[in-house]
Amino acid sequence: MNKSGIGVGSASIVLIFAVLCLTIFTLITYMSANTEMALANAEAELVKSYYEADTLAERIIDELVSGASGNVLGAEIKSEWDWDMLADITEFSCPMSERKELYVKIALYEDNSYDILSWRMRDAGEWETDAALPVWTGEDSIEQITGAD
Amino acid sequence: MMEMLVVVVIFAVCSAACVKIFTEAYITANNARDLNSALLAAKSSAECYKAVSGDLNAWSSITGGHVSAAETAVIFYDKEWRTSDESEAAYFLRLTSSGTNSLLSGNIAVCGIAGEEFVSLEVAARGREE
Repeated sequence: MNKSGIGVGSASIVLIFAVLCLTIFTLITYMSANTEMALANAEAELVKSYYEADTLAERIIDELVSGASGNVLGAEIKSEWDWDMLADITEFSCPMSERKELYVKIALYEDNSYDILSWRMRDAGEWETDAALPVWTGEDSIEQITGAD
Repeated sequence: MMEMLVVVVIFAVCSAACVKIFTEAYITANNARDLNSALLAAKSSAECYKAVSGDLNAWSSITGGHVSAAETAVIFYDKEWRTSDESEAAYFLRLTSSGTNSLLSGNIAVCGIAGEEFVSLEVAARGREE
């Protein structure tokens, strides 16, 4: 019996298995490295935006200590006198991104010294509760809902 | 024989492609590691700068750096991101301070020794009250 041409022997089966393993491991490594890089880039953006907001907050406090009032450096300042602390409780936020901001709350004393009461990153977006329940209320007939004649 | 030849050729081509992708992944992972380490160094230095109210000498003693000019301080890192001498440095962090006594501004840049910049941050610190 004469065998000719390319046959699928054990070598081909081993090849398929080896190439399959190699490809899977390569893709996993590549995806893992890309994910690491994306995470590092996201962290870099967050750190940069945090320190930009932090710098702005320090400048705003500098202006407030110097006697500025109203909107300072674009930030909306809220102040309220506290009789217990005998200080102006002042709070404002510095934007970091669309969804995050740096919230600062200080007690500003009459001698122009201050204490930091809060200095933290928080979500800027408003919480919206989805109360919609799209079920049939019984007011419309099935034909009206489906648009059937 | 023909089958073996084809198997070897296909395996060689696939291996070459995989090695190329492995190399790219290795470079990307190294860049990510460098960026993460640079961010950590920059954040740590920024917080130290704020904590010592912009005093570069105090900052240097905490972070292991040294003041290289009137308003500039540097930390050198080796390949493993440990603080090192300039001769063994693979990376460095440069802090440039400026501003008035009440509010100081520091620019922190983390670079490779070849000059590539990983991170650049602006940080403000309240000056020490006289």
